[in-house]
Amino acid sequence: MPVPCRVGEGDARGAGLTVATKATVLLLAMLACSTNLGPYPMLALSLSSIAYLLAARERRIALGMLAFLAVLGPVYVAYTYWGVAPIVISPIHVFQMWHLFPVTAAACVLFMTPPGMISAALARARCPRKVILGALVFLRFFPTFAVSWRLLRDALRKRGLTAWRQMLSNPLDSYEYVMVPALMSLVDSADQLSSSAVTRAAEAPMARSSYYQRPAGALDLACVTLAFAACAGAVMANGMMA
Amino acid sequence: MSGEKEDEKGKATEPNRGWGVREVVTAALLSALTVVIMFVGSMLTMFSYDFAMVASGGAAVFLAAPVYMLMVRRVNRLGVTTVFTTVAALLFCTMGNMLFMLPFYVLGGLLLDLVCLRTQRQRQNPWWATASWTAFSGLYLLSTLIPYLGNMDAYVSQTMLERGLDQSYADAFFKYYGNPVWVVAIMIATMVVGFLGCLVGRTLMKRHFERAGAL
Repeated sequence: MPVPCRVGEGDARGAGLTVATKATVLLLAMLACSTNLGPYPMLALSLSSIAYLLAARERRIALGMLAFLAVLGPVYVAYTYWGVAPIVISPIHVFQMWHLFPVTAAACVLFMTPPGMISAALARARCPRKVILGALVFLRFFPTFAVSWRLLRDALRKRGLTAWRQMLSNPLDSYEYVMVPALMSLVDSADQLSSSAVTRAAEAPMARSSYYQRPAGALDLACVTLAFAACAGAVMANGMMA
Repeated sequence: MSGEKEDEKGKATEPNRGWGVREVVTAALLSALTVVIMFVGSMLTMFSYDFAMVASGGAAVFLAAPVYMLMVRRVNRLGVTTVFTTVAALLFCTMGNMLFMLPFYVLGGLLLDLVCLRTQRQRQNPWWATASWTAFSGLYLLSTLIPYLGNMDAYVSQTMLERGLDQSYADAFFKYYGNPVWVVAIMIATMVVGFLGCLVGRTLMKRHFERAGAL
C-alpha cells in the first residue's frame, strides 16, 4: 500500500491549487459569463482571470492571454460600438471570444493539471471509475489532438494540399485528406491510452489509492474568495451600469 | 480449424458486454472530436448573418457525421449517443450555452440510443446510425431555440443587444427564427445535410477504416 505524500510546491505547473479550487473558479466564471455582462465588467473579469492564471503559476499562458486580450478588446469595441464593418473575422466570433475569455482562462488552468491530481481528486469525490477515466481522457484530448494536428498540417503542406485553390476546387477531397488521417491517429491514440490504462490496473476491482494528497491551503481559500468577489462584483456593477 | 471457426461464431453471437476501458476511452476522445468539428463547422458559416442563421447547424452536422459513424461502430455499446450528447452539452455549457439545455441533450441522446442503437445489430448497421444522426441533426437545431421559447423579443433584446451584438443580427435572427415556416425549413435542411454527411461517412468507412481493420 503506497503511502500518500504531499505534492511539493514546484512539482508541476498549476499544482499550487487543488482541483476543487480550479473547478470552483471555472464554475464561477461560467456563471458570471452566462449573465449579460457589459464591456467594463467583462474587461474587469478578464483581467482578474489573468491574475488567476498568474496565481496558478501559468505564466506563459497568462502572457499569451494578455496579448490576445490586447488585440481582442479593441476589435470587439470597434465592431460593437464604433460600427466598423467586419473584414475577415465575423462579429459573432469576436463576440464569442470576448464573452468566453474568463471561462477560457479558468479552463486552461484546470486542463493543465497533471492527470494524477485530477484522478485523485475525483476518486476522493467518490466518482465512478469509468467517469474518472472518461474525464482524464477527455482532458488529454486537446493536447493529443494538437500534436497530431500539427503533424497532419505539415504533411498536407508538404504535398501542396493546403493551398486555398486546391481546397476550394476539391472540398470533399480536402475534407477526406484531413479527416481520415486525423481519425486514424485518434483511434490509435485511443488504443494506446486504453492499453496504458489497463496495464495500470484501471480495470482492477480493488479500491485505488493515490500518491497525491493535497489539502486545501490558504492560496486555495484566497483564490475562491477572490474569484467569487470578482464574479459577484462584475455582475453587480453590470446591474448598476445598466 | 473447425473449432476456431466455432469459436469465432460464438464471439459473433455473444451477448453484448458492458463498457470497458477501450470503449470509454474511444467514446470520450471521439465525442470531444465530434464537438470540436461541429464547432468549427458552424464557425465557417459565420461570415454572414443570413448564411449563419440558415447553414451553421447544417455545416456542423455534415462535417461531424463521419466521426459519429465511426464512434458508433467502434464503441458498439448501448449509450454511446448519450455519452456523446452529454459531452457535447457540457462543452456547449462551457462555451456559453445555458445549463438548462443539459437535460434536453442527455434525454435526447438516451432516446436516440433506445430507439435507433439499442441492439448490437442496430449499432453495426450503418442505416440505423444514419437514422440516429439524422434525428440528432434536427434535435440539435431545435436545441438552439430552447432559450427563446419563453419570450423571444425579451430574450433577444436582453441577451443579444445588451451583450453587444448589433441590430442587424437581431433582424436576421427574427427573419429566420421568428417565422415557423423558416424554422421547419431550416430543420429539414439540417436533417438532410446530416443524412448526406452520414453517406459521406459510410463511404469513408468502406474506403479506409474497414480496409485498415479499424472497425
